[in-house]
Formats: sequence, C-alpha cells, structure tokens
Amino acid sequence: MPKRPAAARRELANFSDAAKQTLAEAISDVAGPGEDRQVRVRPLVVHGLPAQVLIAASADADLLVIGSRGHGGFAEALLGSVGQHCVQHAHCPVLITRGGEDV
Amino acid sequence: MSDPARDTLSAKAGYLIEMAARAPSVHNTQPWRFEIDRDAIELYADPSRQLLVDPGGREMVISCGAALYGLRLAVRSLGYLPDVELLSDSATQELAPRALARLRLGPAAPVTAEERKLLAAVPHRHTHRGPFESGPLPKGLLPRLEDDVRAEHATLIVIDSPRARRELAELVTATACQQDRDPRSRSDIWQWTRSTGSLARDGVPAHAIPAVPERAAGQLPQRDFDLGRNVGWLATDGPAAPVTAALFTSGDGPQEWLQAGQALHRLLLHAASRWVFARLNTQPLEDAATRALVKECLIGPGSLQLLLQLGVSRTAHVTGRRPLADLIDPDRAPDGA
Repeated sequence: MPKRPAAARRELANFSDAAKQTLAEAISDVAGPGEDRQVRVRPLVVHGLPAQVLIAASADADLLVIGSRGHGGFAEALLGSVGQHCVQHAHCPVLITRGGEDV
Repeated sequence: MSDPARDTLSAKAGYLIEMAARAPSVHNTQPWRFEIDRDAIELYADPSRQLLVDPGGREMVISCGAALYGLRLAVRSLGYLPDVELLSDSATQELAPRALARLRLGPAAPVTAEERKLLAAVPHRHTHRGPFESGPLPKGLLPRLEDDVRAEHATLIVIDSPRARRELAELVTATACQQDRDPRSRSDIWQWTRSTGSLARDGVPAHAIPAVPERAAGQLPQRDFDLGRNVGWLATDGPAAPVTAALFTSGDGPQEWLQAGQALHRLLLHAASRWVFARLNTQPLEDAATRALVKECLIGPGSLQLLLQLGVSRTAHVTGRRPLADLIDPDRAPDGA
C-alpha cells in the first residue's frame, strides 16, 4: 500500500534524524568528544545512492576513505559493490579500510 | 528465439569487462583491450602499453592472464560457468593482432560462498607497496593459496628456509641497484608513475609509491618508483613480510604466462578476502641473467614467473582503472556503456 505523502515525509525526517544521531556517535567514538578534537570534522547526512553520493563528494576531496562491507549479498555481487563503483569512478585516490564484518 | 545466456552476456558485458579490468598489471599498465562479439568477449593484449623492460611481452601477457581470471570470476557472479577458449599458441610477436582468449557463457551454475568472498575482495585487492602490519598470515590460508595456484596449472613455492630467503634477498638487492639505473627501466617508471593530483586512470599513483626505496636486510627490495623525485606517499619502514613465495609454470610461453596471470589473480583475491596482500617483485625477473640466478637459488618445477611477498594490512590504497570506453572497440560497445 502506498503511504500518504505526509507520512512518507515524516518517516524520512525520522530516518534522517536517526542517521545524524548514529553519525554523531560514530564520530565521538573515533575522534573523541567535540571540545577535545584534534581534527575538524564536518558531519554530513545525504540522501541518495551510496556510490553516487560518495563519487560526487570525491570531486573536491584529496582522499576518499570507505569501509569494506564484507561479503555482499547476491544483488551486490551481481551489480558490483559500492566499493567497486567508488574505486572505478572516484575523482580522487581511494583508501578502503577493513570493516568489522570481514574479521 | 532468444538465448538467455547470449542476452545476459550482451547486457552485462560492460560489468564483466570492468570487473576483469580490476586485475593487477605490471606498473598498472592495464595492457589489455576487449572485443564484444555476439556471444563472446575476446581478450587482447595492448602492446602500446608494453614496458620497455618487457620486450618479449611476458609481463604483459601475465597481466592479461590476471584480467582473464577477473572475467571468469565475474561470469560466475552472473550464475554461469565461464567457457574459455585460449587462442594463442603463436610466437609472442604475433600476440597483438590475435585474441589471447575468447570467453562465452557456459551452463548455469549457482555462485558458491567461496566465489562470493573472492568477488567481495575485488575492490580492495591491491598491490601492497607500503609497510605490512606485524604478524603472520591467518592460520590455514597459505595451503589454500597453494591449492588455488595448483588449480590454475601453476605451482606456488613458499620460501620457508631463512637461509634461502636471505640468499634470495641478497641476490635481488645486489642486482636491483643496477636495474634501477637501466635507462629502459627509468623510462618505464617516468611513463607509468603519476604525481599527486594526476587524473590519470592508469600507472602507479603517488599514494601507492614508497617515498624511498626499501632496502631492509632480509627483505626483497622493491623497484625504485620514486627516482629521487619525492612524489611517493607511503612509509617504507615496518615489519618484514611474513611470507616470501615464488610462482612457477610448466613452460615459458604465452600459454603459461596466461596461466601464471590467472593463478596470480586467484591467489591475490583469495588472500585479499582475508585482508592479506602481496608485494610483487617483478624487477629481478626482467633481466635474463638475474632471472637465471634467482631460479638457481630456488627449488621449483619449471619456469619461474613471479616473486611475491605476502603480509597483512587493514587498509588498502587502491589504484585507478581506465574507463570502460577505453577498453573496448567503440563500434562494438555494449548498450548503455
């Protein structure tokens, strides 16, 4: 059943808030709480296909760092993973780091 | 009547070729091109990308063999078995105009869990020119890599004895300085290395070049990609690679070079699925006299094709690849490519 536009918008806003919260926690875990940070971090939550968004962001970047997501499902194997798209099309050097799932 | 395998091949040709083109190649020259036929993809060597230090085309065809393995694996991801016809039994000078291999889709067969791991490793598989982390390879991996190479009709010999490793390192170090000064080698490096900010999609980029050539005792030295230009990003200190190995084939012609390349790519993807990467020491085998000396120092069957060192890393500095349009004949491009 298609959702009504207002409900869909509300759900997207909730999703966006949840993503911002997750991102803020991840940054704190890695770089420490805001006031102690040695590096400047600019968090950004963007709607879109992951590979497209990352490739667009790489246009004015010195380095694109992405995590490996481990073993993709069948669809990912078939269409090429986000990592595959990024290494193929990014406009700057790409560094892939080992994700938790492949350990 | 529509043939599902043929329709799949023409619909997915762009994807298959892009996956094949993630293969490793000497100096990241990517010395390959593809032609798409109605029901087949043909792989050709591209001699305009052949190194001066590789006049016989051995390294070029090994690189093409690696691309052939990438193509086979990509076909598996579509749920088909690859049907490969090797075409070259000719002398090397005739390699260019003739296809090295023709690939069709064979019978349908579901992709295995093992193959899925290899496919997932394609984006981060890279030639590791920086330092490794300390520590051994994951337990049980090495015999599996030997199995991979054997399945591709080649042999992987792990150089276990510290004495043999030391002798090999001394020999390679002694000849490396001389080879680094070879004008052909320097010319290749100038042509195939890229400084920071370069938009080139081939060659070895600054972020994959060691800042100074590594000359640590007991380690196989890497080729000097920097040539005193200070373009390299990578640190060169770090623990020794835990494994040194050599790859042999039964003979030393184009067929065996293709086998060596397929064996290498399979081994590298399997290793990369466990975040183990290789440093490839191709330089000592480019000079016939040095290659003979290195062969004497190792005990292995047939012809020595590759020396590699394996180690663990949590990060992968991947290198760029030429766009699809550069790899195929424009008149025969697939739809939407």
